[in-house]
Amino acid sequence: MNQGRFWKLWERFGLLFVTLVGIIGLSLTSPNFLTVNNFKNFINQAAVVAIAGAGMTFAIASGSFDLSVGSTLALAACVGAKTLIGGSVAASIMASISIGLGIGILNGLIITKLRVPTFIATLAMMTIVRGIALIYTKGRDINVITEPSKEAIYKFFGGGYLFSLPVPMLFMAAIFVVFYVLLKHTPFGRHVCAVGSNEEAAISSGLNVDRIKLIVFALVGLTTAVSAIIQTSQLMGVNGGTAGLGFELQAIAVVVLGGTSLSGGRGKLFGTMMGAILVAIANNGLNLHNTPIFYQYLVLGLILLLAVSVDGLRSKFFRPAGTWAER
Amino acid sequence: MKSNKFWQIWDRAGIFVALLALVIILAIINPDFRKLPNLSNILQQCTPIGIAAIGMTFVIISGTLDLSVGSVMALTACVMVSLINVVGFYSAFLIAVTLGFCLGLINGLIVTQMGVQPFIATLGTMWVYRALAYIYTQNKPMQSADASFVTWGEHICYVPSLFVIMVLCYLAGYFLLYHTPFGRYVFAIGSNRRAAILSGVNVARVNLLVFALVGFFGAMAGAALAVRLWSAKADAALGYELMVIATVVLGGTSLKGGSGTFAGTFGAAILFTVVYNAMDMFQVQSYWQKIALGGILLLALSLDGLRRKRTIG
Amino acid sequence: MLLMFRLIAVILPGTMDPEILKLEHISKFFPGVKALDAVSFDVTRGEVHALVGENGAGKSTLIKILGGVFSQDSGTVLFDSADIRFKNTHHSQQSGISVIYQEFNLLPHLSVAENVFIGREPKKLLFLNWRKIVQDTKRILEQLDVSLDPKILVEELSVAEKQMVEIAKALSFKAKLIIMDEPTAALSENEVQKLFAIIRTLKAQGTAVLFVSHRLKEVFAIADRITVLRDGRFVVTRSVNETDEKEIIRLMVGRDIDTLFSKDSTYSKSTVLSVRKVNIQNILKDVSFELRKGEILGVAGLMGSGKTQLAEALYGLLALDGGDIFIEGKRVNITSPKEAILLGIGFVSEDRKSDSIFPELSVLHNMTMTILKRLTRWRGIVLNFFQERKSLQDYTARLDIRYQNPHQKIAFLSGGNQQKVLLARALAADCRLLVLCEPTRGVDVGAKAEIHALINELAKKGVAMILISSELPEIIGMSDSCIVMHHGRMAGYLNKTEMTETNIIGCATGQMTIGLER
Repeated sequence: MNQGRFWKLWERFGLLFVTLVGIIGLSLTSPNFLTVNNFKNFINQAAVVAIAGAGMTFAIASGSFDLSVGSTLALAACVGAKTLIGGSVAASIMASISIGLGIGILNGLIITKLRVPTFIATLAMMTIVRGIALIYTKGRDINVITEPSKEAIYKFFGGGYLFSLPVPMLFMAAIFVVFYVLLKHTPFGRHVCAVGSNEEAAISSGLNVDRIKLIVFALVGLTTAVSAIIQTSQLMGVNGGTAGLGFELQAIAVVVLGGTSLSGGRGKLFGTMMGAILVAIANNGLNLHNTPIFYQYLVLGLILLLAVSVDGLRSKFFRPAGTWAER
Repeated sequence: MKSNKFWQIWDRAGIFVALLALVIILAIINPDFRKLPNLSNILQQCTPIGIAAIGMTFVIISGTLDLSVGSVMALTACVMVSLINVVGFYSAFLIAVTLGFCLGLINGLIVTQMGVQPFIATLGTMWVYRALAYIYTQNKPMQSADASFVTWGEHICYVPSLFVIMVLCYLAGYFLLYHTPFGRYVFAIGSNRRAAILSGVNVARVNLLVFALVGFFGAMAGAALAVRLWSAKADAALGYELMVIATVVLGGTSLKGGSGTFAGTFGAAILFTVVYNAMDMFQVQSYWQKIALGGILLLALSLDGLRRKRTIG
Repeated sequence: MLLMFRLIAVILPGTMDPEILKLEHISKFFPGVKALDAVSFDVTRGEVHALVGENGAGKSTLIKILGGVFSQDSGTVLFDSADIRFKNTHHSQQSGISVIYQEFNLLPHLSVAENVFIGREPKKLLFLNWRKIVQDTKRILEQLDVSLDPKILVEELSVAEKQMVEIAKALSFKAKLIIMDEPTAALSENEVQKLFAIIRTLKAQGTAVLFVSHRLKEVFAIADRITVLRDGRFVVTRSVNETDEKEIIRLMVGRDIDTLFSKDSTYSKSTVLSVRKVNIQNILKDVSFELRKGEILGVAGLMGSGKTQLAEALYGLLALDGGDIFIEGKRVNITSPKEAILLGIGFVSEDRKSDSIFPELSVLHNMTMTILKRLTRWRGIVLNFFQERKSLQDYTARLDIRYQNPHQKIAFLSGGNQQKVLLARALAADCRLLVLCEPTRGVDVGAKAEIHALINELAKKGVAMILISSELPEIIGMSDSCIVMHHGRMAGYLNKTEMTETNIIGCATGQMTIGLER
């Protein structure tokens, strides 16, 4: 098979291939890997990152990104947890979602109204929101201990089963289907890609770019809040200082792993989901082999670097004949 | 026009004006602030971020970012402190600095040879290097009671030795950027990469060196950190990437690339430290300090954004 | 056509003026400069109206006002008999004016159909009505007699095809006036003719076209009337058959330029460059020629013929798959621009803005970028500012570059002076072979003549030059000999007497081959 065919196949199936290799490898080296319980473990882990990744895919397709999702996750989780202890499950969910939406919209406003560069705006929000989370929890853990009925309902989100499938997995599938349709088959989705493709042209075509960006950041906040709910449901506890640390890296990483380009204009949602699953399997593998948790950072970083290096080499190959630099 | 003059002055010396104003105000409000030991403390506290910002200024002028600088600081600091009792202070320092240079080179190789965007590449290495720091130290703090720590942590007439080192580093960086072809090429690449290629600039090599410089100065910054604390932990300098980038941008270097100022970075580094010092003095909780930092950044950059809006239309 | 309108205007006064666009005393100021000064003229419905003028004459300001980018400071715009002031670009589009800019306003990652209907997509409930979008786009493309698959992504299209998409977009807005800004700059002869056919179709449908261009030959081929602007003021509007190129130039420039191109035929016998059977897979095949000191070799060809790639190969930007290059008799392997510069090869790229200018840097820094290594002390480490300034002074004198001070940002210079700075940069490194790609593209007539005079001077001093240009008069006037590329091969190696337009176009289109035995 010549080089061209190889790269075309890799673009479509590379991620899937590597995931399969990982699955096979792990089932051989670890007896506990192929159990139903373990499947639930890593798919639930994957769902948390994947769902926020869906929102991040929109952001990257529109030519931006959001570095504050980790802190948003923390704050949404903390507020949700505290509300659950004192109030109903419904109130807790509303609270988390509101926080996520609120921070997302705030990000959007800072970027569109104050014209602060995306990088700095979301980075600054990352610190501010983390500070708020620490103040809100006074730096202490929150353990969700409340009436058993409430706990049972809340635990359902992160660990329950519906139609014999884990709930987070179903959430993930549902969200990805909705987002896929949104991106490819609604005017809004196409406008998001338009903004990422050529923002100036989008503006002169009459698109309300500021509003589109605002909605995109709101979506990011929304999906992050959903991730927060699922994760808190799994842990039944949260620490304002450490929750979601590095989460923004994971979210961006799985989007990039999935094949979405950072320069915008396109969004590969299915790829993001596969990327999240791959990373979850890798971390799961590490857990099964009892490696300390910080090895996960190593693995995540290496997978990301490997994936983008391969992608970098691929685009070098595909450079049109007779051009001498990327524009 | 009057407002244009304002922006012109702001461009050139704004950061120093702000710094001076802040210092004067604080000195008036709080007598403790004026005391020489406190001022000396400020000069020493600003060294880690100040030195790291030197490398980052190069990177930002060349048009990209390096997100791994905090992790480099932590890793090199841990390695250095762990080796002091084995090979002595100065050898450990040299090893750490070489390590930093190499870590930067690796960043550069990933970017130039693999064609990976610097943002993603350094995002990845940020975690790899941090993980390496954890693995190397097994998450235990590295400590040493070496006498050299004391020597370097002292001051000469209230000016800390570390600060002197920082000034020397800035002078070296200034020289490199404004008085050598290499520095000019850094500006060129940030301004128009294609034009740089056409002008015969070896873009790959310059980029490689720029990343290596970040690693080098990062290691120096890590050493400064170690000297101040007499120890190093794997989670040191967590989140410093933000602060270092903020320092450079606040000092007047544009994220777009092609223009920059060392003096501005220097001023911004001291400014940040003064703000932190003031917050400590007024007993602002550390959590609020985080919020304050983010807030200042947003404020400064909204001003910058508004300014750019003016000049465009 | 005009008569009919006049008739209707008499019968139904005010409803159907013959003019689709009437500008009355339009003025626009920017800090320090009056871009437009009481400009008035009109465009008739269904007319092809050309707008010409030197750079800085005010054409692009006028286009931006009509396009809704900003509005005039004083004066009225009467469009379709209504006094109107455009609030933004979208407003202008919806009112019936579509502007096709040189850099295009397309979304590369989206399909043709999506680009045409962006912002006004037909919907089915909440979802896109794909079938309708594709159908409607197909219909518009058929109107233009263009066959493009509406589902292709725009980034995969050629420049000419992208232009078609812009025109289709304009039609979908039912534009009554389409403004085209330098539409033929990046097109080959074939594609230009195709564009003209489409413009004629538009005309037949009653759509007026405002054709802004530097290329007078084309203007005279397609336009009905020409309006000339100079220094922000309206000069005159003439019918095309009542004037000629010479008069238009005089009106544009305000003075006579009688010899646009002239080359003194003096060159020595010593060979500077020898190219033998150079090959680049899929791009160049068996290219061979020789170049002597002081000789100017023109390179002509349609887009995609390989002429630009030939230049890039000589400058080390593209690797050769076969063949040899000899510089002054010695065989060389040029692998990078850096090496090319060391060999004495200079290069001026065709796209100033994206390829050559360092916008944030000063005039001084821009000029000296290629020779920094020699403006140093202490073994190439420390820059010698004094020497640097001196070299700029030298070239400023030689090339008559105009600027306020050496540390001024290069962005503030005019196009012509910027080009001179780039020329200086290319020459500075002891250049014995200068490769010029479209050196006078986007440069107004006055500066063009200056640059040609400069090229003449350089040739006299012994610099060998390769002149790549898509302007045949430039090639014929400036070159001593010329090669014509066709699909990567040499279709012609013409000497001075053989260089006629017929011959060059004939070779470029593959209809004939001349002089290949040399």
